Amino acid sequence: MASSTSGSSSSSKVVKIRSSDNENFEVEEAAAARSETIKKLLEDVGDDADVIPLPNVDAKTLVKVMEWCKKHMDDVDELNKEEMKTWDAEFVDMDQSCLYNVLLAANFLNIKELLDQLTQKVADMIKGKSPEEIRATFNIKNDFTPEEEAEIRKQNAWAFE
Amino acid sequence: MATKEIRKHRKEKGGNGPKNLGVDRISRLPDPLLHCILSSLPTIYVVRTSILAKRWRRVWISIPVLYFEEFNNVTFQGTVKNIRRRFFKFVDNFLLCRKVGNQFSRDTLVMTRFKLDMHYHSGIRITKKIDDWLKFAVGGNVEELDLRIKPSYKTRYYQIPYSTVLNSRSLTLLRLKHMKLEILFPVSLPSLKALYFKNVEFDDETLQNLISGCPIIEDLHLSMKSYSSISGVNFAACGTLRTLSLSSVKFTGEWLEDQISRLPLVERLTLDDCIGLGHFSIHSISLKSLVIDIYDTIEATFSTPNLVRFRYNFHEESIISIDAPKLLEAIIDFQLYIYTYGTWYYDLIRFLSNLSYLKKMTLSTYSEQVIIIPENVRNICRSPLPDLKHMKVKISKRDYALNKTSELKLRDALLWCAPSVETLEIV
Repeated sequence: MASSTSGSSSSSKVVKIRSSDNENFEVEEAAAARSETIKKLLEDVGDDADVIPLPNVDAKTLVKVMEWCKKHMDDVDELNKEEMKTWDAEFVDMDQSCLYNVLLAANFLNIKELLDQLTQKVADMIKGKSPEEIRATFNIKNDFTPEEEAEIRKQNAWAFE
Repeated sequence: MATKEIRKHRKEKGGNGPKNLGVDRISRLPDPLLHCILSSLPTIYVVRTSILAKRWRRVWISIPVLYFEEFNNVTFQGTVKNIRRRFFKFVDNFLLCRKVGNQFSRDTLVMTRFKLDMHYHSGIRITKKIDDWLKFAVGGNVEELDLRIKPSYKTRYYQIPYSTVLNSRSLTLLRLKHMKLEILFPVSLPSLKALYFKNVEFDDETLQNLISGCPIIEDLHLSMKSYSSISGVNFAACGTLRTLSLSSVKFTGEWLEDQISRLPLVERLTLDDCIGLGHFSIHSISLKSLVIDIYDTIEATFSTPNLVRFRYNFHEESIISIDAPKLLEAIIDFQLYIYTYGTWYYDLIRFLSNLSYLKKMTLSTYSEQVIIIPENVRNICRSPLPDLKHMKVKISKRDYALNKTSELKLRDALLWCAPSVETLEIV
């Protein structure tokens, strides 16, 4: 069931990457190259690369990111858009701490499309909520005094009407 | 203890969104990432984050995406007139803050996208205001401009200012919805890569003046309001085009043939609800993806040696012959048909035989009836898809689930069509 993507893509060269907690992974090059950062590193070191260290990403997060990269290895065309959308929606549905880890990893690894999907997910959690609800959703502590808060509301009254 | 907290939290906010573990991590993200997150929201919500906490006090001022939307009634409540007044006040004040922000920051604040979604009531004052906003955007070297300025009942359309927007050096993407465009002189958009028109009214001359000024354009999506003809336009100046999508427009088959022959890099072609095509024959070495969804009867030949993906809305009177040895996947839609009549099954078999070398196919239909080829037809025809390995059938009819007998019948018919199929999925 999980094998919905056909392995019909070109030669599957494998690269090795290492997480911040020293776990090694073997990943298809085409998948790893979804990350501009890894792609650039690969170009720089050429074929004599042994293992590419990724000091900012832990193993758990890396597994998640590579799962996405593997799914998005081939160009998505108009035709498979729907299926991909469903898959992506399920992918980004993770708990908040995981979400931030993957978000930061996508940023560091420079995977624009993944970053867009994750930031959109967070934006959806903000959308339509009052400031109090947003604070509750993300555990943001209001460190303004009531006077300070009132002052900002007054200054930007044109946005709070 | 942690689990307790989560449960409490979920209760409080009705259990929507992923669970959080009691730590504020969002406030610790660097500004560029917060900006990425906030960029998809209408700008008013971005400004409203300023009262969340001290960390958020000034995040909004440097947001690179400006998105002003008048319609969302969650944003502004009240009478139409009141909403409009507050919308204008909001945009004016925000842009004023940006101007001040620009003066006080070391570098000009980056503006990647400017999106405006509003009703237009003609009048000199309002026109001047929108002109000024767009001037601000173009002056700030905006890269993407997304405008939906819909005329109110019986009022005139807003005209995009020629001297600013249509001569922007930085603009890479222009998206217009529900607008009318009239361009009498050639424009100059040296950085423009993508043009999206949806429900836009324009004539041949306007389109010609526009695309002739876009020397590096790659994506062109035209969806017109009223099937106007574009047969007078010449895409010769758009040799860099990779995606061409035409929707609700009128042109002849000869015109299309001629234009495609002038586009050596075109990879994706979509023809959706176009009229006037008749007979045509497309030859393209670069084409990789082709989508045809046309209600008119057409007779078309495609000689596309590098085509990989093909989607087609089946029309029993149309004749399509396609020569695409590298085709990996085809999706055939039958959404218009509920009943079959006349020579339906023979037309279907003839069409499918075109794709006899195909390995992977999806059939998408409202009713399974239209693809169950009956026995008497099977007895006199040859299986159309001898090499097919993977077949997926999507049935969209929702009123009843496929019963055992129908499913068996369907499977039987599909296995006849594609005798060497390895995976057959019915959803």
